[in-house]
Amino acid sequence: MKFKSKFHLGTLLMFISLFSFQGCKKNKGELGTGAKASLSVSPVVGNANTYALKGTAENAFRYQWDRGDGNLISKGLDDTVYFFTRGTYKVKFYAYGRGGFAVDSQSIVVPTDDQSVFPLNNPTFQLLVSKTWKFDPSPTAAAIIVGPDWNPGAYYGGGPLDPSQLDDEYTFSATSKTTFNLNYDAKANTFNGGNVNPNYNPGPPRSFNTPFTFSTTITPVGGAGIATFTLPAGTPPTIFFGVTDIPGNVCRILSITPTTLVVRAGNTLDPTFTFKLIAK
Amino acid sequence: MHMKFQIKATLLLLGMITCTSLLWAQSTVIGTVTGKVSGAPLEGATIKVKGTKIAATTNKAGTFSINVPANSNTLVVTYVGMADQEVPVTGANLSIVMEQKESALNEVVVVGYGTQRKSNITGSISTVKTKELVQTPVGDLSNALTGRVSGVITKQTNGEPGRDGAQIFIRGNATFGGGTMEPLYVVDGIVRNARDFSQLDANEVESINILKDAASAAIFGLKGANGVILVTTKRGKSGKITASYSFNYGFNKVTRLPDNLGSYEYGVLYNEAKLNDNPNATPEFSNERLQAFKNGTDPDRFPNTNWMDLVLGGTATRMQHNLSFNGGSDKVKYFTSLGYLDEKGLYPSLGYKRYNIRTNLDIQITSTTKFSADIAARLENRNAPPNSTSFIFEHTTRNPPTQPAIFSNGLLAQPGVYVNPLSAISDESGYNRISDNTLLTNFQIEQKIPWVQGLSVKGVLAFDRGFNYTKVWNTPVPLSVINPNNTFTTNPAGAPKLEKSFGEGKSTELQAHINYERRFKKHGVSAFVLFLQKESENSELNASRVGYTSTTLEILNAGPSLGQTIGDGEARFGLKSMAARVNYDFDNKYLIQVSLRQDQSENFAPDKRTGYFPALSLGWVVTKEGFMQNISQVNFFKFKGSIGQLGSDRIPSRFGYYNRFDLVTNNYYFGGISQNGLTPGASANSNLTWEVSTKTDLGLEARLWNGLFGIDFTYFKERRSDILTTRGLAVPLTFGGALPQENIGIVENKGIELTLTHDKRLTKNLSYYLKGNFTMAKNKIIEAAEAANVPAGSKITGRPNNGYYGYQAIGIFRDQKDYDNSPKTSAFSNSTGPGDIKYADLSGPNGVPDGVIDQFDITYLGGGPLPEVTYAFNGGIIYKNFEFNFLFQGATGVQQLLIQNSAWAFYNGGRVTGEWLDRWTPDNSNAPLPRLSLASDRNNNLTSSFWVEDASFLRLRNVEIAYTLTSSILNKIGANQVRIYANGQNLATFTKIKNVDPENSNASGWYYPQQMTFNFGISVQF
Repeated sequence: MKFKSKFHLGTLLMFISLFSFQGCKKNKGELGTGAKASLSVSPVVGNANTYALKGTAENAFRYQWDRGDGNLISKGLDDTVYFFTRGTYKVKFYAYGRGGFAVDSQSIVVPTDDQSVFPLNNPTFQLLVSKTWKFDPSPTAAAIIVGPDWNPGAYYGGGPLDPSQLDDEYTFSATSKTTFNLNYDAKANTFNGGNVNPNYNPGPPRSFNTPFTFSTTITPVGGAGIATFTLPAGTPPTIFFGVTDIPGNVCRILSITPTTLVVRAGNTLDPTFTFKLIAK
Repeated sequence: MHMKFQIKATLLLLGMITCTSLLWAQSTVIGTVTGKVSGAPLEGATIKVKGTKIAATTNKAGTFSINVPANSNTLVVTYVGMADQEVPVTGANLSIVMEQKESALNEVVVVGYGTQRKSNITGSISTVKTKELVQTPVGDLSNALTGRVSGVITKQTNGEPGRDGAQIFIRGNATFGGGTMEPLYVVDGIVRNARDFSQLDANEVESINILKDAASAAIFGLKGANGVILVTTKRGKSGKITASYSFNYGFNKVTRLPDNLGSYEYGVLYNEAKLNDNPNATPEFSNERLQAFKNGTDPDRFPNTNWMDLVLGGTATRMQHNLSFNGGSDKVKYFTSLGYLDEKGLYPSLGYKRYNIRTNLDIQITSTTKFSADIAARLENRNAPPNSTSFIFEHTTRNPPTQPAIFSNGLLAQPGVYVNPLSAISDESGYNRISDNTLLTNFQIEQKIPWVQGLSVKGVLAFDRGFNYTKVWNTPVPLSVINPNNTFTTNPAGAPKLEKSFGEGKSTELQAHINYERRFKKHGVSAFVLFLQKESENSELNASRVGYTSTTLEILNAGPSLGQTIGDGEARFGLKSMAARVNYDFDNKYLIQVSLRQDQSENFAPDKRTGYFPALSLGWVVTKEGFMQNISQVNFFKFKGSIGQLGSDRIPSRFGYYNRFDLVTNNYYFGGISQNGLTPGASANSNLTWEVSTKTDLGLEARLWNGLFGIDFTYFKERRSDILTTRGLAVPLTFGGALPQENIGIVENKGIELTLTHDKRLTKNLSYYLKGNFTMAKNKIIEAAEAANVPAGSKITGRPNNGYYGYQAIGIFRDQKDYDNSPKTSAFSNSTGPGDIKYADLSGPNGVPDGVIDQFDITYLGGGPLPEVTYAFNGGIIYKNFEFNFLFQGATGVQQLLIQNSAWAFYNGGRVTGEWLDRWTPDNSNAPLPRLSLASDRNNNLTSSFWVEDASFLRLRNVEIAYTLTSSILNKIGANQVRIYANGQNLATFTKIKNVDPENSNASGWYYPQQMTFNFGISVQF
């Protein structure tokens, strides 16, 4: 009887073990420990607006940097970042490992724009890029005059501007140490010059962004002036300053203050266009 | 007083007579049971009065005592290791001598169109009996053969109810191209199709004999090259009617599901893969998103979907009933069986039901005339989703876990760009209903010729009829997306479509047999002549319409005619054959069998239709020799050998002897209207003929130590020639067609089979048995007419049939130095790097390694998905009324090439499986798997040995635990025997291959997996 009950128990155990055979599952592989990342920032002495970034990481084999512009760059544990313009920048350090990635970030406050090199350190350039410029709307301002360099109002001594000219805006800016941009915002219309039909009437807006160069050397065009800005060659009427039939791509800055800007286009041999602008 | 005395005396006398007659009514019989060879008494032998529940067992002295009712006159004596014996009650004291089990060699085995004594068989035949068949809880009978006998290689490639049959290869694969290795199925002497075999109810089968060599299969000539599976159904036995009822109920679940990574792990690896492809990329999954996957707090937006588990993770029930009646008189015997099988799928829209009905009737019309009528019918109803299994599992394996399947409000989700497999399997999506109705009849009349002893003639008529009906109603299911404001948008679904098809077939077979069998003292002679003619035809009609605007009427009339299709097909087949077989034995010691079959197959040109298939086999029963008589340890020993030629006319296209044109639909424009047209097809080859299989067998059979051990060993060799293939030659375009197929292929296939058996009774109540079988079959293509410019590595000639070809992976580029110093694939030079798979530079255009990995480095990678070696061992323990049986089965020398989502991570944006956690990264350069990538077409995904997995396995194929109730309990319910059992199928699998079942044959893993079955049942005999 005892044997019998043991046998029954054995049978039962055999049932259970057989039908639970499939219950044994293999351990799954492990993902691994997640990466850890930390970031330290220090200014680079002697290099304006430049900072040294140092990342430290654990359980990682790949690193990326976000230098404050949202773009990721694959690099090692060390990086440097330069900010041209002042502002607050959030730099990030990404460390990737077999168990995932980690990010550390730090904000860098850049107190000033980088004005350590020409033309950023030139007072004329600094005034030029500091404002948005518009034609002087005063009826007596003679905002646009035309004539030879020695008698700049000889051909056209000025007069009231068309409304489509009065709302035009010119903004100079520096996007880096070496790249400068002129933005022309025509608003609703651009006033056609003599090179666009219908002549001397408002036409469709010709707003644009264009690079320009800045120089304090007037020699190539001669005449009066304290500096020049040069637009891409052969550009009118696509790219211009003041009027669509501007006679050349080199514009002389005759004078500039925080509120006024006088620009003359054209060299000493040609008829020149002189524009009087005020800060917006 | 005197009168009183007389009355008393009379009463006493009557009483005595009554008592005496009562005593006679239940006489006691005593006796002794001894073994024939040893002469020793046998303890524990069971003696049962035939047709009753009265039983006794022998004691230590081998004696017994049993009460035999007056109306019974036969005892049935059984003893483990001995042949069962029926003993007439000829007196009150019996002396019963039990013959060893080897005398079971005297049992009759069914062979092609006849029977033979097992001991006299010279061919190679294996037998599976009903007990083993019903022990296996499977719906498809082909799976019940797995592991039971040597030489039968089965491969169950999926587990879908109603479609889960195993591919059967008898002794391996000996053909290539479009040829088939499907065996010939013969049920009670009539050739049937594979489904007529596989969908038999195991309860109606007496035995299955597998004819493997030329001698045993030669009588089937042109149809026998692939081996023959002979099924013998149960027949009635004279005596009291016996009713048997069996019921079993069980559960199915998937043998193994892939180890898919969850969303969190998937996201982490996805980021890594993305940055591997572009180091400056932004990680796809932010840490916040990854954390949300991990937390699982917002499953609608941050799901963690296990698609496999959703589709296949549950259990499905299965249920089987069988009721049979068996009985009759000397004149009429009958066996009737009613079977019902109900197998549910792992999703509700899938299921299979089968009804089997069979009546086998034997009528002894006169003392010399016997008539048999076998009528069997089968009704099959299969319900499935309207989408194909491949489609369902393509999306089940592909969808990543980060996509939702079903929102918390119950709406089915649109998982990105792929199909939601839950919609594809839902009842809402429609249905695919298949109904198959089959009637199989077999009428035989046998007449013994009274004036010639041993001579008989037989006529056979078999008429079969089948109908099938398929209706596919497909209604795409609307899927939803979650909006940023937590509302849901349900996108409209497409329009329903309907397909219907009807098919019917019929077949008529006529056979005439002449049988002669007689023994002249020591000379045994038998002869058999067969005339056979068969005709069959089938036809099909199908139609479809798309763009239904309503789901109200699921009929063709209700659909728009735009885009409708209609098609039909008809086919007729014929076969005319003659065969003869002669057997001779001298004193049952020297055996010879000669056979010849002539076939006429209408698959070939009229003057090429007739073929002759001869076979010769010899046997020598050594133990019949005088010099063996004193070797008591060897009870039976036989050498046997056979040689013969068989054929196979089952070729892909029947009319290769005609020039053919292919129908091109709607491709030719006349007057702006597209018209059907014809293009030239393959050229005619009027010399086309069948594959010729020349088979040689050498073997031995032995029974040792009074049946304690048994050995069957066979060496076999097959050379199959005239295999259809197309020459690897380029023909000028001006030829305007393709080259025809020719009988030029040759394959050689050889191997061994071994079966070992062991039976032992340990005590009166305890016995056990063990049985093992082993089959090794290796094949090689001898001739394939390959083009001369095929690179050596890609040639199939001289290599195993159906092998894998690709690049030889030799590891992973561990670092930049390894990468720089190794040959690389020219096609992916811009995207490879450390962490990618490194391939062997085996050759170049000039036959020597050239430092570049290209098509010249492609080579043979392995023999493919058919195992070279299969083995099994089964056994059982019987203790009193308990019984425990098991079957392990395994295979080796087998590979699977896995591709796409079953192997590669992120293939088409899809799932990643667990093994990828151990992938190459710079800090894990010795990893087994390459670096991750989101790109699907790249260096690592080339066909190479890297993805050829060893698919060897060992499987606990079957386990059964049973208890037979004692007679005291049975008396209360009026049953003769009640057996309660639990059994299981595919309970454990040991294999190296990951993610798929080792028997899977779909490289992408798009298959309904094999099932593990837990089953409980009862069988009652009244």
